[in-house]
Amino acid sequence: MPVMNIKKFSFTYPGVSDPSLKNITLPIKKNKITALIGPSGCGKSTLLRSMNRIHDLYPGNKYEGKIDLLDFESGKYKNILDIKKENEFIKLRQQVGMIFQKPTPFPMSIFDNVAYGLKIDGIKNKSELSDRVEAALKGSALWSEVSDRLGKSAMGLSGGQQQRLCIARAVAVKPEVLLFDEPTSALDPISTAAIEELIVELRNDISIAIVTHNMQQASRISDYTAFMYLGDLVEYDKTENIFLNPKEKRTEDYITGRFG
Amino acid sequence: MLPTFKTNLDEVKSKITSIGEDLVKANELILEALKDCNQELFNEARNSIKNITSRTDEIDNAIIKILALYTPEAKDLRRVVAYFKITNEVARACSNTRSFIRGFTAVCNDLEIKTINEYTLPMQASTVKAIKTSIMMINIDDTDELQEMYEEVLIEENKADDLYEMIERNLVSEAENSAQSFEKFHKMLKALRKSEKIAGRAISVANLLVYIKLGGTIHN
Repeated sequence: MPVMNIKKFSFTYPGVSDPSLKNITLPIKKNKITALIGPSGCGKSTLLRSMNRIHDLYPGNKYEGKIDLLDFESGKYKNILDIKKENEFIKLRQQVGMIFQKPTPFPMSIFDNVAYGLKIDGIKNKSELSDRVEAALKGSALWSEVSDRLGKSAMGLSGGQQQRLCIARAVAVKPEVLLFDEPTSALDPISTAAIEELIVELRNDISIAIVTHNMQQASRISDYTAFMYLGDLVEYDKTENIFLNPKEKRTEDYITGRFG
Repeated sequence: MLPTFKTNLDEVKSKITSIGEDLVKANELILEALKDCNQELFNEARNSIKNITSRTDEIDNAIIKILALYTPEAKDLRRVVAYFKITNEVARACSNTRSFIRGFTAVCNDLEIKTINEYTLPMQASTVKAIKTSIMMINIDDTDELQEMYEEVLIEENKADDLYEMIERNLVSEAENSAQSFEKFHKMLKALRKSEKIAGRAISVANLLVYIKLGGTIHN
C-alpha cells in the first residue's frame, strides 16, 4: 500500500495559462525511496512541493486530480488537495516534511532548532523535549558531533552538519514522508556521502521522495525512479529497471547523457 | 561506501566463492577417483558442479546491476570487473572439469590403473592445489598474504604444465612402441589437457585477485 498516491494530478502556477504538471499518476511507496529525475524545468520540484502543499504559501495555484495521503490510524486515504484550514496545513507539513537544497537552520540554538516543531505540536515537558531532540539528532547521525554544544547557535555548524540538523528537525515530529529537494547539491562529496547514508537509513522508518539532478545519486540510493520531462511523467519503475533497461527512449537518452 | 553497495558486492563475492568451492570439491573427488577409477566418485564430482550456468548467470546479472546502480570507481571498479572475469574463468574451469571426467571415464576402461596413476595423480594433485589456493585468495585482504598465495598458485600451475609436457613425451614414446595403445594413450592425453587448463584458469583467477588489490592493467 503506497503511503501517498498521486492520481491524474495537474498543477498550474498563478497567472500562467499552461499547466506545469500534466496528469501525473505516481505512487510513493511505503518505506522506499522514490527519486524524481529529469532535465531542468521538467517539473520535479513543482511536483515535490505539491506533495506537502508548500506552493500554497502563495495563493492562486490551480490543482486538478488528487494527492491521497494514507492516514495510518484509520488506514484510509485523504486527499490533501482538499485541505483549506491553516492548522490542517501545519499538520500536513509535519506528516510530510521537507528538506531543501540550501540548508535552512533557524537562527537559534541547535536544541531549539530541533525542538521547534515539537513545541508547535504542543510538547512542553522539558524532559520529553530533551529525549525527542536527542533521538532526532541520533537518528540524523549528528548527536556525537553536537551533544556537547546543544545550546550553541546552529549557524556555527558546517554545511553538511546544518543539512543533517534540518533532517533532525524534520524527523523529530515523526513524519510519514520526507521530501528532499536536491539535498546535497550544495555540499562537498564527503558530506554528500554522509547525507546519502543517512537517507538510506531513514527509509526503514519513513517513506522518502527525493529530487536530484545527480543521476548517480538516484541510482545509488533510490528504490524507484520517476523520469519527468516538460511536465509529464515519462516513465516510472524500479530503479534497476530504469538504469538497466528503460522502456522509453527519452528515458534512455536522458540517463545516457544524450540530452538534459 | 553505501551499505547497499557493500551488501551487493559481498553477495557477489559469496556466490563466486561458493561456485569456486564446488569446483575445488569436484577436482578433489576426481583425484580420489583416479586412484582406483572409482566411477561413483566421478559421478559425485560431476554432481557437485551441476547448474553452474544458472549460478554464473545470476552473478553476471548481479554485477551488471552493481555497475549500473553504483558506478564504482578505482578499487571498487577493479573489484567488480575482476569478479566478472573470475566468474567466467570459474565457469570454464567447471566445463573443463566435466570434460575431464567424461574423458577419463573412457580412459579407465582402456588402460591399467597403474599406468593411469603414474601419470595423472601428480598432475591432478597440482591442479587441485592451484585451484584451491586461488579460490581461497578470494577472501584474503592482506596484500602480503595475497602475494604469497599467488606465488603458490604459480608454482603449482608451472608444475602441472611441466608434468603435462613430460607425460606427453612419455606417452608418445610408449604409444610408438605399441600402435594399438596409441589411441588409448591419446585419449588420456586429451583428458589430461583439461586438467592442465584448469590449472591455467587458477592462475588467471589469482592474477585477477592481485589486480583488485594492486591495480595496474589486466593481462589475459
